[in-house]
Amino acid sequence: MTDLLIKLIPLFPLLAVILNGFLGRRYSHETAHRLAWGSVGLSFLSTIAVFVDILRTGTSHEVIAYQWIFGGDLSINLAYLVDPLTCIMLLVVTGVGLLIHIYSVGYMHGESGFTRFFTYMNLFMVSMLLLVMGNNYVVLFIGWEGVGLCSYLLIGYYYDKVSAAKAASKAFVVNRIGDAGFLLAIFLVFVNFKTLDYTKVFAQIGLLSPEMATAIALCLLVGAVGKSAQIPLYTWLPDAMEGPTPVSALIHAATMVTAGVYMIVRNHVIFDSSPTAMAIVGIIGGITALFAATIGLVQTDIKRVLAYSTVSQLGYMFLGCGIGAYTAAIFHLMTHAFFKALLFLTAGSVIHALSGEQDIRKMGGLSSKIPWTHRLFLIGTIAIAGIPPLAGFWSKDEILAHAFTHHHYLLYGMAALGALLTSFYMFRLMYLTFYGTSRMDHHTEEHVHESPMVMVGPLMVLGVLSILGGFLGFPPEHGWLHQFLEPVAGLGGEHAVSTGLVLTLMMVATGIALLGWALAHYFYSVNLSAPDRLAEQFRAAYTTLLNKYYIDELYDLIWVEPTKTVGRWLDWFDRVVIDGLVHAVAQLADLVAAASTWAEKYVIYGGLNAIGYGNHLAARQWRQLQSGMVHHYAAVIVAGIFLLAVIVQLIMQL
Amino acid sequence: MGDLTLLFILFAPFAGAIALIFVSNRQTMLVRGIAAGSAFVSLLASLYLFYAYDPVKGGFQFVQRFEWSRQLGISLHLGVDGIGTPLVLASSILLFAGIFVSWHIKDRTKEFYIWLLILAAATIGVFMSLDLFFLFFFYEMSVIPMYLLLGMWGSHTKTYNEMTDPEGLKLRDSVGFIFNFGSNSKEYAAMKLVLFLSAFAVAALMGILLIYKYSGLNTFDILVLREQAKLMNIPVLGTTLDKIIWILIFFGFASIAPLWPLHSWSPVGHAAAPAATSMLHAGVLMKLGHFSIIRVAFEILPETTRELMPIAAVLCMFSIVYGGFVAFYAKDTKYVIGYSSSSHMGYVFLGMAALDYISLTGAVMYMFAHAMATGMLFAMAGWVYDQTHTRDIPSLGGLSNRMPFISGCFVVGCMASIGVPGTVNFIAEVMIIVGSWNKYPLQVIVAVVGIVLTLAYLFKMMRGLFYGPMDQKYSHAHDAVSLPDRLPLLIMISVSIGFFFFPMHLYDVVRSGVDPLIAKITRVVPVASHDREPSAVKHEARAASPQDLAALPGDSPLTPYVSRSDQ
Repeated sequence: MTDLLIKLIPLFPLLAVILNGFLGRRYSHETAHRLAWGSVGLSFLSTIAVFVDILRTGTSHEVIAYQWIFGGDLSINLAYLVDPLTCIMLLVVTGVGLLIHIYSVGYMHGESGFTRFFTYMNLFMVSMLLLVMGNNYVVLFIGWEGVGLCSYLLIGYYYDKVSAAKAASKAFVVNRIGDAGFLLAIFLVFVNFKTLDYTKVFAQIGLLSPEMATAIALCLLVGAVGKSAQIPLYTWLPDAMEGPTPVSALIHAATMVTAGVYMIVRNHVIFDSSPTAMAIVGIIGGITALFAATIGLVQTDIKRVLAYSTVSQLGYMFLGCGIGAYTAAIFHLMTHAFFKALLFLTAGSVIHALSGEQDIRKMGGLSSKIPWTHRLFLIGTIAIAGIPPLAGFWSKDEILAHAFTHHHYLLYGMAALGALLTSFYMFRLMYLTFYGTSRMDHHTEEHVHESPMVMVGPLMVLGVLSILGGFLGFPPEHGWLHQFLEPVAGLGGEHAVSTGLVLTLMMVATGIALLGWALAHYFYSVNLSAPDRLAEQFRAAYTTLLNKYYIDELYDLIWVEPTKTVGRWLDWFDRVVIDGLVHAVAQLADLVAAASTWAEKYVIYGGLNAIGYGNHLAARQWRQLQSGMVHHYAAVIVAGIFLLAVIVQLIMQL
Repeated sequence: MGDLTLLFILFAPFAGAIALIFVSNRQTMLVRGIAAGSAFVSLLASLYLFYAYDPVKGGFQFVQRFEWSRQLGISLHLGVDGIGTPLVLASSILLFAGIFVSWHIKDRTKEFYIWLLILAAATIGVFMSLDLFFLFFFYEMSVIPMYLLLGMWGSHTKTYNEMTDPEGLKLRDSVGFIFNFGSNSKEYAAMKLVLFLSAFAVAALMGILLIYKYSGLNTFDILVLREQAKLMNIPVLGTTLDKIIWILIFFGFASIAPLWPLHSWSPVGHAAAPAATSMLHAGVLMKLGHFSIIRVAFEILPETTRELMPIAAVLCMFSIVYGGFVAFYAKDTKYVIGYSSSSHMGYVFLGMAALDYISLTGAVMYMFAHAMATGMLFAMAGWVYDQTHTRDIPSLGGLSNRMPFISGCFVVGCMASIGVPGTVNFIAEVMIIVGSWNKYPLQVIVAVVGIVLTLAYLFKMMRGLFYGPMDQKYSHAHDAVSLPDRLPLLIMISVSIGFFFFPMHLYDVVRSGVDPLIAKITRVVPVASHDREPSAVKHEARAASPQDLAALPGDSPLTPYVSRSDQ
């Protein structure tokens, strides 16, 4: 029964793809979207049934759905492995996926290509499910490429926009660079183990030499870095925001971009046997977490701020993987899926309300006009900032604590600073969007409206999950989630840590988050409007505020401006150096191509043509023999006969 | 049909061509009907052949033999093995699709279809010939129709049009005109293609004649020659005869493949050719090269193949990278696809060069897969050209609005060409790369980089054609709406996707052809061993059947069919 359900999970959305893809034009939009979210809903229900079964029996299932290529030395099946890790991923993918599908019904209402949108979304679900369910690298890779393709199609959804088409190509090409590494890793695995099934590979891991383990792990890492938008391959993700907002929520925040983290956790046995690779994973994660957060400080596009925050949060997950806190990484992946989907979708709701405006400098004061969106965005912001007891706190704190207790102080420092910045820029976003005075133009302001229930409903569910999701991992390191994932990921920290230290670290993390909020509040709320009013109400506080004003100037001078400058500089670095590198490679390719073409033109073709032309010239001379005058021919014939006679004579004499 | 299947496949297009002679050009529908009908008979018979071919039995099946000249030892000997079968199927699919792609040709329709049918039939003839004479006969026969198809129904390049006035008179001096690469007219392309291929065919013919003469068996029959020909260790010109023959055969046939640096006929030829011709040309004609090398060099000279195949391993890298870079730079849609084809043929050479069970199986499957992918792309490039009368990528754009169906199919075509999972190209590509890794890791890395390159230029072209703003002068362009217009694309797409999901029969069939061949090439004791008398060694090796050889110590397991029945 469970086996059948497992087989059905990816089949439901596939059915919807086929129906909507081929017959979508024959029926109404209502039927199309019902099919689309209904199929994901069925997958979700099946997932729950499978999950309950695994929870009860504690066994993982390996199901062969279809024997694909088999025979002698090569055997690849479409087979699924559903263990606790897959279970968590399945719940996140189908659960969050379902909510986003329902939300999209409202968001995409009236767009041209409505059915096309849902076909792609369902195709994405199929690929993502294959990615997390496969029991071997080939199925993983098929899903991996499938989600990349769907990401391409959906970013370029507004295909007549040049920027969208460019962003789509960029995403696919950058991803494909990562995929090349992943492909090499798969070859290395096959060459070393003669099989591609996870269980068989991991069982023989002892046979692997440390160098080979490092090579495989690094190749896998290249793939993960591309898909999960880590340094240096993250540039595509901010651009990918050209796609419709539900796409950003589903693909570029909650599911696809976390595939890299899933892949590393799935292959943690290989990573464990290579300390070098582990260190690199951790460092990449740490740098990305900090780096992306600094860029987030200066962005003015609401979706781009969220995009950089996604990159940064993925950095935390990588950091977690790099220090061996796999459960914490998956925990953060889960909570991040909740609150980042919530943030993107509420951002979508804001954009929807403002008739497509995305610039936060042209927002402000929206909290009263769209109250539900405001409340939910606030929940998401608190969750991502890491303020207890919301979801983000527990998972992020666990990564930080693990880094500290396992003596990765540098990584801890990076992550803690990143957390401060995260809190700061998220609340900055909050203040600029929802509070203060309105900076909208008159026309837009008149049309501001709260989104329909079909959009707000899923947001509420995500809001609840963002509030409560963290308790799945409570108490830290020994929560339900940790026990559930233990057979796959191990318990992480074996050596006991004193409760006092844990509590201290928690308090530090909370303090960091609150500090970020306070800073944001100070810079984007207090010194804009508060001074006048507060000055009259609290005369005693007035001078303090006044002094703080100077401090504010000072802070502005020594902290905010440099921070902004560094952020701007890093943004510049991002645009000029890193994008420039990509362009340089393209330029180089262009140059080599030009050189090849030159050689083609003047050496190879030219040589051939020279032969041809030489022939032509020779022929031009020789044709003069064909004069058409009988006496010329007669003379030649006589001469020939004479020559022949001489030759015959000579030969006879020999 | 039974044993006569091969005759149906081969002679149905010929019969169609002969029937067309007696039809007037004014009865357009009848002309198209006859062409489509004969192609359909051929297609049905090929499908039957493909599924009736028994991979467990292996070897050459559906064999037909008609004596032609006893004195010279020539006979029309037809038969297919696991390597020929999928290629025959690919040819007839592309022929059938090509008939519909050229549905709207108005100028001398009848003659066009006659030459197209002959071209495809000759190609199919090569894939089923078991006689060197007829193999070469069909090979030459497939080149000649190209001349007429390009010269009469082809199109000039943009630069040519810019350098000439409407009457085709030159606007520049003749030397500059001749030496200018961009100024190739369709006549130039036709001439170049035929001359180039014929010149190299002569080399192959010399190789074949040397085999005929020095084997001393007075026969052109491949089955006899591969068992009995003794061509080793005959000293000639400071080397041995088998090496000279191998080089002649290899480069003779590699020119059509096309292996770098013998590729220069191909992009020009593609660009000038009408869509259906490009499809057949890139789809199956190029594979004649690989197939003939496998059939002649691999079968008759296995030891020499093992010694000399590294040549291909070196050159294939250049093919892959060079073709990719030039395709990236090219501005003409058909040049891009043409160079991409020549780059992709490098993968086939890599698969062949590694001489490994998996990689050669991958190479053969890649030939089949590439036929579909490149067929789609050329068909669509042809459609865009027919609608906009230009192939210049910078001046196109935004066609997605006007042609949603074509642009959707184009995405599939590009994905297939790149080898994204979901298309049979993926399986083939992965098999080539996995199989070659042990022997040629550098080439494999180049190949993987080549995939990224492929992606870059195909996406660049796709963006240039279909996305962004559209020039108003293309507002009259139409999408493919009617069934005859959509059918060819739908067929090729469904074949490409279908074989991804159900690759087993294709894999089995190809494997049954590849296994004995690789066993023969890799398991023979090296000729160079000095402590044993050479001919005795060879005699032992030849006496052993592939199954016996499999029992020799070695790492690669064999005979997948046995293990399959165990499961």
